[in-house]
Amino acid sequence: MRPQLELPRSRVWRRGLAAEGRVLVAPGEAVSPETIVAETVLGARPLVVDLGPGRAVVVEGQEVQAGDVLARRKRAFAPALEVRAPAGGKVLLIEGRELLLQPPAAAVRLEAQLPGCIAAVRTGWGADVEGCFGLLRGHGGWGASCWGRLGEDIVVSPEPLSQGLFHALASHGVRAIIAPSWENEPGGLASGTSVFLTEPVRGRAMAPPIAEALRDHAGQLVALDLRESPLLAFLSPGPRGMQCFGSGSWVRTGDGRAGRLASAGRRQRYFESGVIAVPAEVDFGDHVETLALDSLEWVA
Amino acid sequence: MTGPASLLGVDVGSNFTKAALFEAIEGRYRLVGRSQARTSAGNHVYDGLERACAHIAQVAGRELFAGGEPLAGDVSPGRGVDELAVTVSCFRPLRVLATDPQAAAAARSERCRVHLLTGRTLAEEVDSAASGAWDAVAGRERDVERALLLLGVGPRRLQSLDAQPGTERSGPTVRVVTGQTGDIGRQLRELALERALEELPGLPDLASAATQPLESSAGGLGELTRLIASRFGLRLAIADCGSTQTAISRATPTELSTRVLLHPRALTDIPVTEAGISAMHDALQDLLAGCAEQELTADVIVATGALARCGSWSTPALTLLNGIRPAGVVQLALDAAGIVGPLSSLARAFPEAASEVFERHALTGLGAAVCPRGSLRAGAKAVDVRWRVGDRPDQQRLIKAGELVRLAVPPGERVSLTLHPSREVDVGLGRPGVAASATVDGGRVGLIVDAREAAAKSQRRPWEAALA
Repeated sequence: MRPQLELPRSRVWRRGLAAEGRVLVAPGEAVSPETIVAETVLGARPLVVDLGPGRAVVVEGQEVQAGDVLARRKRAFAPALEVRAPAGGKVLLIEGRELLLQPPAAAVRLEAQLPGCIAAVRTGWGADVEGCFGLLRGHGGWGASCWGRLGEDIVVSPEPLSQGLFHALASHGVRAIIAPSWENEPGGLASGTSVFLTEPVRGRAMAPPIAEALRDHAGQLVALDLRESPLLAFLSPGPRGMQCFGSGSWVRTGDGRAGRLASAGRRQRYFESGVIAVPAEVDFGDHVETLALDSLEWVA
Repeated sequence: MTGPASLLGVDVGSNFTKAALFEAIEGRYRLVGRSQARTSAGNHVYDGLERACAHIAQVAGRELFAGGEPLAGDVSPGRGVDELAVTVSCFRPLRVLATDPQAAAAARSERCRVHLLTGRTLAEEVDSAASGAWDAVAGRERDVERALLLLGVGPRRLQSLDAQPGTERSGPTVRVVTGQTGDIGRQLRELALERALEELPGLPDLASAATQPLESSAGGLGELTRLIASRFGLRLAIADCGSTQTAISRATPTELSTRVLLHPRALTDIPVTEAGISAMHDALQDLLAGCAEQELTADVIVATGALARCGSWSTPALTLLNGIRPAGVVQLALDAAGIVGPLSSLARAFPEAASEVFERHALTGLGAAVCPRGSLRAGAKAVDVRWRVGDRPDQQRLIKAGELVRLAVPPGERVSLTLHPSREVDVGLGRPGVAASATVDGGRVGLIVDAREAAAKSQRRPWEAALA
């Protein structure tokens, strides 16, 4: 079993392109966070151009340059009305008074995000950066993947994130916010600031071992991968001890509370609810509860 | 018996790996041991499977794992199993852009996040298409081609006009899925498994170790439902509430439909208190309501997964009535042994074994439910129920609109039932006011008559006492 927070030791940070491209590094090569490890070209979102009352003077499949006339309407005693291309590209579709224009593909470059050594290359797709990293699996995330210094470019809020706090931090130009959860349902997040959430349940504070690990690594480089399953890696000056699940481990209950595992039973037993499960004693600081061992998530 | 002597069925879910061992004993397949282990994202699939198998191995006295590998296909006394079959649902849901409602419905038969492409103008359609990143675009071929244009990743006909070596534009990998409803579901199922094999640590190893091809959990559940429905000539529905998805498969001897609802938040709790169980079933009935087709009709509804966690038999019965809201006369049953998940993996390759074990071990009868339909004012006569248990005298009870009534009929008793509905009420014949008769089985809860309005079923507290 692996915990949500994996303490620092020699690990790989996987960098991968969204579409097949070219890998620019080789195994054994040292990289810095800015090193481009792979690149590809991705199609930009098509533009819709309103042709107004004019008649299209281009056809589907035609390449146009920015400023080229797309549609024209002649008028008797005035210059013709013209609609021009807002960008260069290919005319994909003309329907009624709307035209779909595909801008040229744009180059996408993938940075290493963390310093280390290339452990492996996946031809055409990406590379694994090896270094002394801690890993944290998130329970949610918004925005673009990014990297920066913890506490400077990427900030931590140990308490649930409110809209007000989000906008205040975003206005200071932070690249990302690491928070436990949202305080309330988030509205539109039209901002360049990414969000990484550590807790599964809204309104919960950050689990203590996660907050502690992030606090201990303030000033270190941190990378966020927010594409599918949110993942965070932080650089560490040295490895920490091995992690084993057992008494003293931090665990999270199904309703999102974090506590320390005091003890775990060996045999199943009946609970008041009627379910049969292996019991576990969890210490929440102010009280101890007996819960089903299998309902607990290993945090650290 | 010509089939395998031992079968291990495994269902690898997002939070729990379930395994069950079945053996041929005296010519019949029987459940020997069942277990589950907690798993989590990023873990090797063997991690949970080995722990689940360790418990079964202890009970069965049969070694199931050695050297970190499951022992399948190579059997010696007390060691290994003849067959290992696996279903899987712990993969990331496929993100599907559907171009029409039929394609959207087909995509919802698998573990997919489905977005229906909409828009009155080209600009609105582009916004709709760009509202996410997609693993697949599903629909009619012409519509899919147009959707690819809106996404800026197609179309193939235009790309072919100017394809020059070295200048071809590469885009995100989006799979095109077209065809009839069944074809779309099948292709998405295959794509889901492809992605799962790429993304889940250890799944390729498990696929190699298994003696049967991997199957998605929703696909396996559908196969099991179809098998049992055709074998016993039933209209059967199986409702499975997992931690990250709820699936309802409904089959007749000739038709199958499956619906999958992804949960907004994983249900990982195993409640240890009565209040916790009640809160969990509150959540489950909402999930079932979001997944079930309206006025589902079936001869038997089987509840499995988290639905089978309960302190009293009436709890899952009420959850099924409030969540699925069936119509007509239906038998309710519970997979109290928790084997439907692992058994689903065996349904396609070993139908004999799967149907035998299902009949013998997966059905704890809760009883029959009469669910009349019709609009009546509260308190008006809904249905006059007359029933006879064995040779005992006839009994009769008038049920009014708005009532939920439990009549004590213990397990093992057969009940001859006659229903005389009021003129506006249909008891499952599709003909309001027409009397019907049926023979049903008693169960742990008994015979239930549910004449409540749909709106009354969103709450369970007022009704818990009625079924207790």
